[in-house]
Amino acid sequence: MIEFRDVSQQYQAGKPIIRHLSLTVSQGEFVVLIGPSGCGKTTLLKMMNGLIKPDSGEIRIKGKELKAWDPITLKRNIGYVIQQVGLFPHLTIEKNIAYALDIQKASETVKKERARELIQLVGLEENYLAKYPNELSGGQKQRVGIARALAADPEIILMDEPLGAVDQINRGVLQDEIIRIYQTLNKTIVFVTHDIEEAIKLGTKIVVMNQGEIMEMGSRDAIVFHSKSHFADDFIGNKGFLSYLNIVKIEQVVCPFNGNVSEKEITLWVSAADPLIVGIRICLENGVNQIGVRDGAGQVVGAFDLGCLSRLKF
Amino acid sequence: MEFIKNLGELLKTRSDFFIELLLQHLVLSLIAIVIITVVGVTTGVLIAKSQKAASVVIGLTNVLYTIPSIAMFGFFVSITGIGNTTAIIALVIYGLLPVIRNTYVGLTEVDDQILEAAVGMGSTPWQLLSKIQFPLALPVIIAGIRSMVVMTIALAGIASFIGAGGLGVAIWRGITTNFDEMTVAGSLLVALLAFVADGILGIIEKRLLRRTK
Repeated sequence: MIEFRDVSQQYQAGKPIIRHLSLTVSQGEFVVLIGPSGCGKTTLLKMMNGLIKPDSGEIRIKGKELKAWDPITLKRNIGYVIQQVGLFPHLTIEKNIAYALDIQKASETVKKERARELIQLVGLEENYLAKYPNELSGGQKQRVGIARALAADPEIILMDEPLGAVDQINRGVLQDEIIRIYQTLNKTIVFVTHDIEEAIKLGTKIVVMNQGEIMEMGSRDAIVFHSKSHFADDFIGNKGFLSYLNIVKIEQVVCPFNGNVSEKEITLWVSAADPLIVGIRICLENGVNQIGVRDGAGQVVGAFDLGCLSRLKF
Repeated sequence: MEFIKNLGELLKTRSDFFIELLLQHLVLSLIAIVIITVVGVTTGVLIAKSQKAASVVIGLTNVLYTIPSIAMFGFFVSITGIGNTTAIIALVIYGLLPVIRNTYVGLTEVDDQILEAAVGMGSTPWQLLSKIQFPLALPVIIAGIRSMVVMTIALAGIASFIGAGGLGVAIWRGITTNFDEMTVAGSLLVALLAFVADGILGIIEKRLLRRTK
């Protein structure tokens, strides 16, 4: 979908933002770019829709070289969500969502229909369509921002710290929404963040950057446990591990009950959908080695103990 | 008291004369206002793309603005003669500053994030201007037009000094014939005209502000 080959970029001579960077984003991936401020992650993202042009190297979007794309057409083929949301204050939510269709001269009926469809997708009531952005809370605005990026049904969506300005509680909810939308619509997403927890939670592929270079790149498991670079190890560290425990579900490590303990003797239970950290906490809190696991319907599915963790396969 | 009575009497007996001057004044101002709005807004839009051009153009209109109006009228009489044309040229030059400046400021002060979102979504430069920048700048532009309108109506009163029509004729005649009631009647009508025009634009401005906040 997106291919960078030996791309470099500098705003000022001698101060490179991106150094000889190569990266491939495949169809259907959720790629998270993470790194300290100034590492070039936002620059990298903006190169993907042509907002920033590279000094050297080759960029291909959907197999076509960046230079061969008409810059306007390219941007219309890619959804774009930014941190401050950037909703248009003089337009209603409906017109905001339909903006990408409007500039491509879609008919009024198509625009109305699509706006109604998308407001539901991002979990807002239809009556929000008639409101103006200043009547919405930060989290609601960002939902609209996401709906707006989806309007023209782009295959690729770029998100530049979309939840950076959203409070902690709403951030978790919106992260879940983004995952849900990603899974339902089967889009390719590139997401910039500086929040390690967010990166571990969202990405199917996590790219750790520093000083314009990719330090490490891989799946959640690989980044948390098998990082080869010193920098990524330090940067992700225990915070990443903690996020990992918060995300991986107990159902992935359920094991049979230990031989001499029967199901009836178990008094402590967790749900299979709970994250590992819940199970570990219950064990530590109660000083037990083993607790039971039930599925959503209340059926017993097996046991959880610390030894089970070795069942995680990377 | 006597003076006010005389003033009322004058306005009543010479109503035809005053209505004609009022209409002349209105037409003269209106022509200038239309030209200023078109030229001023267009210039503002054009210079909004380049900061260098903006500082040159705004600097230049600033200088023109500081020239005393009598001197400006006098200068143009020597080029285009006396009459309405000269009056309109001078009025346009004066009125351009607030309109150009406000258009420029309004357009350039639109939030960068909003612009980035619009560009990132694939707006053409024209769509960016017409659908995003201009509507968002409109309240500021209207504010500029509003002060220009009041100023132009007031300034058009001086235009009769160079042979143009309008309420300045009454003021001028009052001064030269030592007829105070005539001077005051003309001045009052100019003020009234400016006041009404300002009120109308104020309502329009308020309506726009309510929507774009």
